[in-house]
Amino acid sequence: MVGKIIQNGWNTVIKLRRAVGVIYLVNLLIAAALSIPLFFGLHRYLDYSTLRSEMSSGFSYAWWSAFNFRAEGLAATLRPSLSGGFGPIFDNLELLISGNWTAYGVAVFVLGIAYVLLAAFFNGGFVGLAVEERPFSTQRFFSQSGLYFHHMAALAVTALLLFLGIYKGLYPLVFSLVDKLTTGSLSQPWVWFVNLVAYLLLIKVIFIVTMIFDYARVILITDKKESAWISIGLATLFVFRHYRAWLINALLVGVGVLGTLTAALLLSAFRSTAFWSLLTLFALQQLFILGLISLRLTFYASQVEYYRRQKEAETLVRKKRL
Amino acid sequence: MKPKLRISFPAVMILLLLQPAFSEPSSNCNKLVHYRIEVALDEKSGTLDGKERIIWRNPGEATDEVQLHFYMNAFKNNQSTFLRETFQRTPKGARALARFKDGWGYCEPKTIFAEAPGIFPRTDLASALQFIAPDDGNADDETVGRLLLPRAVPSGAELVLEIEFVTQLPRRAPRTGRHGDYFFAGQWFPKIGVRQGDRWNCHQYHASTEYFANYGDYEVAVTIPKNYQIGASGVQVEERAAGAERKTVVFRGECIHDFAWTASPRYCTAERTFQHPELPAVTMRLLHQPEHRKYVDRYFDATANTLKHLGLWYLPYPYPQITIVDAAFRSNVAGMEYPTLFTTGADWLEATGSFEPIGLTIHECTHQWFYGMLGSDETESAWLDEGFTVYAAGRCFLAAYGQKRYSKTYLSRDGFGIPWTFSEVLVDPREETLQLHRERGHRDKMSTPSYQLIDRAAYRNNAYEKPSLMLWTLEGLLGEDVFQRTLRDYVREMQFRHPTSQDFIAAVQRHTTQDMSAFFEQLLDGYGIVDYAVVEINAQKLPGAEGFFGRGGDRRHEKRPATGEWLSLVHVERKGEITLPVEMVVTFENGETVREKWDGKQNYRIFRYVTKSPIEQAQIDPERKIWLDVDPANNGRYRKSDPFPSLRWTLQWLFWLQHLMETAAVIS
Repeated sequence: MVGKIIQNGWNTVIKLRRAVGVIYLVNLLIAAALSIPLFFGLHRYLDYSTLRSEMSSGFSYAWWSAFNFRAEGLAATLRPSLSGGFGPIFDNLELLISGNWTAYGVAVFVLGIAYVLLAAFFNGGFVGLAVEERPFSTQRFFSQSGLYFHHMAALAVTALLLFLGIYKGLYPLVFSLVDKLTTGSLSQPWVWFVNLVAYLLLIKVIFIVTMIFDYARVILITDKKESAWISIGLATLFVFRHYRAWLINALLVGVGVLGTLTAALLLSAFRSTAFWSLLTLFALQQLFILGLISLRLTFYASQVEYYRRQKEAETLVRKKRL
Repeated sequence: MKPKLRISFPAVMILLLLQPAFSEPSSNCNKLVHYRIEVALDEKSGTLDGKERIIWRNPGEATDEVQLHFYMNAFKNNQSTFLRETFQRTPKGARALARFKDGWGYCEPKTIFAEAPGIFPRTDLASALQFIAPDDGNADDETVGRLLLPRAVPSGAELVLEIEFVTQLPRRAPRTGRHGDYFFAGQWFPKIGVRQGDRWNCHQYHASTEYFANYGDYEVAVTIPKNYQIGASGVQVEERAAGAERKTVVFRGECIHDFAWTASPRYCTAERTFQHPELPAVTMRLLHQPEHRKYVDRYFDATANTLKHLGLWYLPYPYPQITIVDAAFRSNVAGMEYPTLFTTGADWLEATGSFEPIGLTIHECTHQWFYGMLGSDETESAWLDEGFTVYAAGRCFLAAYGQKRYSKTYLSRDGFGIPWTFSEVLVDPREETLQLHRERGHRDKMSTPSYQLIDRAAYRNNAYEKPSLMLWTLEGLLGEDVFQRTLRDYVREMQFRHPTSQDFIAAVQRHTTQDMSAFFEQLLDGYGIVDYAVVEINAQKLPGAEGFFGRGGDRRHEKRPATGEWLSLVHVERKGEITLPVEMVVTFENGETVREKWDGKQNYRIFRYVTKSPIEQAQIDPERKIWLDVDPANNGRYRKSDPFPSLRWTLQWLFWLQHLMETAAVIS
């Protein structure tokens, strides 16, 4: 049943692929717009430098550390860990898990929040179309996005506040316990594993919270609820009553992890030392981003499908009882 | 419970007294002091009950007082100079202080007797001890003690001190202390200061600086539980039972200027012999943590490489043994040097291709030369040990292992982290040093006494970064052969002595005809940095000559055809305050090159060339001799740009940003 639900979710994403395209384009355009000042900053500092050949084929630590000393704003986020396929992805996953979203400066932090709200806008459109099971049209997509935006924004803001609570409240609590538990230890492996368990627990919390908010979105649109708060409450009940909801999300997370590792390996193996290879690498990176967006939307579509099935099944049971 | 000595004291004394107080100095060792110490560890309370007999020969002018270090008192309370400075100088100082709440440490003499043969008899001086604070007048600091003698000890005369003391090891203090059943005893016994001329060089214990003491012989008997492994300065000469549950281990170290030891039941031990056809054999003894078994080969390899390279470059390691201590997790003692013993450490988890723990091991082992064999004053001129060590260790690392790979630890917190190595990003250790110097190059100056440097960043810059880059720059300017010869002579001349900045400057001056005074004046006494840049290059085709030519009747208007020559300009600038002679290579598009020399004194200079081919690039310091130059990226410039590298890294950054936004969308 779970496989079928995910397959149907995927089919919905395929059907609404133009929505995927719109979200991808917005993602690309925002990043591209922010890249322009970086490009010109680099152009001034790198393209005439005799160290440029090292940056054409690899990474010159000598050049970078001198550049970084003078760099400001987004340019200061260029760093050695951006090289290869794993670094950029690991850097971002670390932000999500550690909650240290200001690690790359205020600009990146603000961008992250702005994108959360933008994603909330498109989430309403996508889930709205998925619930209605109607084909994609740009007008319908944007009108649905607009229609649900106030609810989606309320959910996003609540989620942001909840994550803030997790990062600033739960994290210190958990890690102070970890420190108390390990304070006298002379064995690093023991301390390391206790910390790992703490992180896994916290990742689990993040997993549950995002799942609840995903279903809140689905319930809000499917059941035409007027309150985002009530939807969160209903979603919490739903998630804790239906183990398959966990299974669906876990399977999709698994797909995401496997896909990310494969992509990172592929991107790491690719050396862009000439223009054509650079374009190929860029194309691969964009395919990966497109895949990630599709995966996120597959979560939503599968959750819509599962919620609908459960609702139908429960209605049927109720009718039979009557 | 008060700890008790459990060794047979008379037996040890008889054994030790059979040997002369001052044995024949090995090579040119000027031994001024002889320590015989017996100490027993009470592992439950972390206290050391000790008894020492110090025989000291006055190398300076007559003195009616003796100054002693009681450095363990830096951890006696939060009013000590060490902890005040720690608290003031670091933002996390309060947290550092909080750690001592249940783990203060101290060293307290119980009895003090002094005797100067032929001058005054054995006298009880316990009441004559005063704690003084020569550096900052802090009345609460008890890290320096002054002992007023009944009569002055003339120059060259001997003084015998017998002190019974109790030392409480602090919990996880910097470079010393206890952590569970792990003990590291550094600065644990009353130690005599250094008499120089008419003054005592005996500074208080400061947050940044380290130690300074006389060369001499140490005979130390340590009593510990039977199941403990022990490592110490010098070599082990005896081990015997001290009751049913304890043992006494005796160590002897010749011509050293400090003594540290460590004991723990968790230590695993290993021994290998360093051998090289041109160098004496050295026993390498490793005490490592059980979880670091996988690093054993690397500890030995890094130590052997240091013994080999520094032995061949400067001076063979003169002692029969070196003890490598892999410090316990969270013990706070990893990364410290003591004579013939050093502490290092590693994270339990390492990334593929990492150099854990090679860098730290080489650094601390290098201190056996620049601190151990050259007993420079770490409180007044820390750069003479740290700067030389960063330089020589970096040189050794490059010779033995090449460049490092950049690594990053994800989700890093105390005791945790997932390390990752970026194999495509190579890092020269000198670049890391330069990166730090760039950030704080203007902070204070190298000639400021180290304990007076304004803050921790100034200390790091003037003790570690700036001097090591200065040495690399000297190597570049004088040439590798000349500089290595200079260093070798300096090390050999100063072996077992206390070199000063002037000794090094004199050694450099002996090996070159260039006047190096301006170089050292700017770097030691100045606050400046070095930065030379090619700020602009351009070229234009010269037009044909046109106008009136000749005079009088011969004057006529001519328009001559262009010769096809190019006028190329190179604008170089000195952006830093320090002036050094620099070289520049100008390359033209036809492959021809011109090498220029510039004294680098003016703020800027424009070089002009009329050539058949336009300029392609100009490169200041093409061989990277001037490692002090804070911005190597502006040292070279092409006339034409190539947007590929910018595009490459912009696209990579764009990918990261796209992914970051999608990661944030998880929260939506």
